[in-house]
Amino acid sequence: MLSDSASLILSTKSTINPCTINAQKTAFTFNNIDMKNVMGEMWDKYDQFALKLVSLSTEGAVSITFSQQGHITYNLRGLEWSNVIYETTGSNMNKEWVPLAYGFLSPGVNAINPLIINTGWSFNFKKGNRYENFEFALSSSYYTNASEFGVFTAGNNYNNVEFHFLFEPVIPGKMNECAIYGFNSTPSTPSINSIKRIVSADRTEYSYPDFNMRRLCNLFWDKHDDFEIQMAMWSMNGTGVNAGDIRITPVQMSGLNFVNNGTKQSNNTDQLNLNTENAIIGTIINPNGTSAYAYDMAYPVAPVQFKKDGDNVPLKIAFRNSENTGPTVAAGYTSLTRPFIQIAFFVKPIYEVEKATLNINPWGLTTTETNLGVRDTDYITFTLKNIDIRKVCQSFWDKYDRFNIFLTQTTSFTTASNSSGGYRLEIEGFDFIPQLSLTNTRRQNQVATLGSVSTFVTANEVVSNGTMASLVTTFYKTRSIVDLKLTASTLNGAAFPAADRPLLGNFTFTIVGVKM
Amino acid sequence: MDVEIAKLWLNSGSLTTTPSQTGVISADNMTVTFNFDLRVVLGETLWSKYKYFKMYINDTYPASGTGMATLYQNGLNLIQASYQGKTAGFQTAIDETNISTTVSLPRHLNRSANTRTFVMIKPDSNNVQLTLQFVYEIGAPTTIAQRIFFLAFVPIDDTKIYPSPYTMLYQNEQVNFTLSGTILPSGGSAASNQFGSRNANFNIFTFTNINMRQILGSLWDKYDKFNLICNSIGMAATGATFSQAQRRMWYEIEGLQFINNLRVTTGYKQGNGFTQPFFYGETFTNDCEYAQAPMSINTFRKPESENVDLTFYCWTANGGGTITVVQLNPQVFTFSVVGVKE
Repeated sequence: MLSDSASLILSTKSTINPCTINAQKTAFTFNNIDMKNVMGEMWDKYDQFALKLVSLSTEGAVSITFSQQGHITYNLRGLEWSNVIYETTGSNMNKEWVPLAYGFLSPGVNAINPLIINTGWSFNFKKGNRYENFEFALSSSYYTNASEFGVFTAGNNYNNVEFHFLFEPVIPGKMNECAIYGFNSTPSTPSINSIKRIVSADRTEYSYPDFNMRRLCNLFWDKHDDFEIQMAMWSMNGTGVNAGDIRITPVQMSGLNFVNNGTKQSNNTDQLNLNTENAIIGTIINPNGTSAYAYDMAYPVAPVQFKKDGDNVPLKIAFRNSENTGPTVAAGYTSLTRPFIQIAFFVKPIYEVEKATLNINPWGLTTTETNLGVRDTDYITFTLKNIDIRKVCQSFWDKYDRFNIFLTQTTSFTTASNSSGGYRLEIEGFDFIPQLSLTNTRRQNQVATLGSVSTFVTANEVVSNGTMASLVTTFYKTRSIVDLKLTASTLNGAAFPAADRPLLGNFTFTIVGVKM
Repeated sequence: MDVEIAKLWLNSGSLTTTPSQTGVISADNMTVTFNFDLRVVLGETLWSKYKYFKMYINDTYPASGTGMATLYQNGLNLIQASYQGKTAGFQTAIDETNISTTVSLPRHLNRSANTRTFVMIKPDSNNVQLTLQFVYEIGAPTTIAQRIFFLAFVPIDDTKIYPSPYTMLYQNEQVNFTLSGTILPSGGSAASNQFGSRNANFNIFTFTNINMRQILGSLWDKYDKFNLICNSIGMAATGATFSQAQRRMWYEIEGLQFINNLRVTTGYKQGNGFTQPFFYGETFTNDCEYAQAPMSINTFRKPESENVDLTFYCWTANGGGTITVVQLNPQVFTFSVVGVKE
């Protein structure tokens, strides 16, 4: 079978083929796993495989000497990883380890069961010995290089953990080729200063003058021209006391040749300026205090396409402010000891689905129409004018006559009300396929309904969600310049509460051509 | 997205400790056995045409029990499912988690977005006795809450390579439509209008005269079978008091000629589709959740009549699977439809 897969469950608690584990449960090894036994006939048929994490959960008491020791990463070695740059190891040459998952454990929160949404990211490895040792080691964000993986000071004791893995074959040119770039912002002692990069004084920008993409995508870089990068999981220690929208931190990447990208990063009302070079890969939400932690492995945002230019690229990662008009102004970024942010970016070749990314927001709009557009008083609707959708989709615009447009990322800002927890979203401006929306008594609705959008329920809370591309409609290639209008409706058909601002937020759309 | 699929819904709450036609459950609910005809589940096309399937499993996931437990299955021929590196034996380990702890679900996603995936070889016999058993790593069984299991089967053609099932942006020709309970009569009583009807608790409701030909557009003449994909579910705020089990919902859909499905409750039922689970977050708040294939997909035949009535039944995990009795408010469903390639 060409679409093989294999499942493997490993538990530190099990008495069946038990692992060896240290007293602190910070390092444990499952010895002599028979890979042919696990994989079956796949093992003989393929030379490369992808490991995907399905789930993890923990059980048992935890003690930590201070809270940052509970801010952990589960690392794995033993398999011959390929396509890896993992900064936390202290070197971008170390391919021994990969970060499987993030977590936060404390005496009060010792049983974690995080939802993991695996939208295609995986860890590639080459077929090696038939019998492999799966060697796990914890690291906390307080420790920052491979020599300290699994080594914790006395008083830090962790608990049992189980992992459920899925293995699939890597078929070059066809499926599952994937690279992981594990970013780590850790600023100071103990340090990862050997990573060659320039960090801005305010610690919001991380520049890599010659980031080696060929090394990152070692086994597949030369075979492809089009790639995509996806932010799949992140983990963060609060930088300072932050509340409200200031916590929203879009993650901007530049230096890659983002051919199909339009990012609004200015509130200039003279015209809409969409930037091609700077893509918002995802958004992290800053915890509200320095002893608060957040991690997310259920963040299924869409990847962003880029074309291969050269092997070494001037890669820059920038943490932006909530409106994406400048660097983040959240407290604590300028501290000598912060921020502690880890992000796992996954890079994959594009086999056939070219995609475009459009990142927009209503910032800069007022109730008086300008060349930028217009909004209503309560952000229930807004229009951005003159979006050059042909330019956004430039590499594949001419190949198709219709396109699927997905809303793939939403970031909701604060309101005094709770933004109702959700709303129904409509979109206008394109020539959509015929729409039948039984949402009003007219039954005919020429605008397209994308679906129900989740926000949040706590007043003055912020959230960024990946939608797994569940908000979709189709438009025809009939016009290349569109005025894009979004309109929110309540789920119960009534008016929004007075304090609600449903479209106060950032929106990322992803567009693909439709194969007829 | 464009592959015919099959779905199976297993209600453990319908079973007792006395074996019945549909199965049996242990007193502590740790072990449950369902009897069903896999040929009925897969339908004639899938049963006769394919030898291999991807099997996906998900459940309502109530938090109960005392710690880490392994879920074993026996009855389906799942290959390459290893526990601690050992070869699967009489039973196959298909899940392990701390069952006493609720999965940390963000408001907009539920566990149907993370299904367990296995390769299944079609059995020689169509009659299957599927046993699902939770076993603690260490320690004696405890009584746990009854679970409802949802399985989906996606055929594998062993001459083709399929991209990862987790690829989420699809290029299929699709149509989409939204059904919102807001057009049905409001108020707290059962009522009907020109668009449909609802019962008093708004947990059973019908949208009438939906013109599927108009919805499907150019797809109508191109395909005989379609996949109905429930992309998102929205629920208007309700002030009702919910138990944990009552928050875990899913919808049975009646009105299209859904194929390849079986519901095992107190008996067997075919012909109705069902959605992915939806976990309602908090009283007095609206809620929306996004779905992931294949749990969000139901395959149906082209209707003989252009106009169909679609009825939705809201089920919950309460009592191991029952139609909810809690007062709800309008619910909004957004669907995509794609043609099934033969």
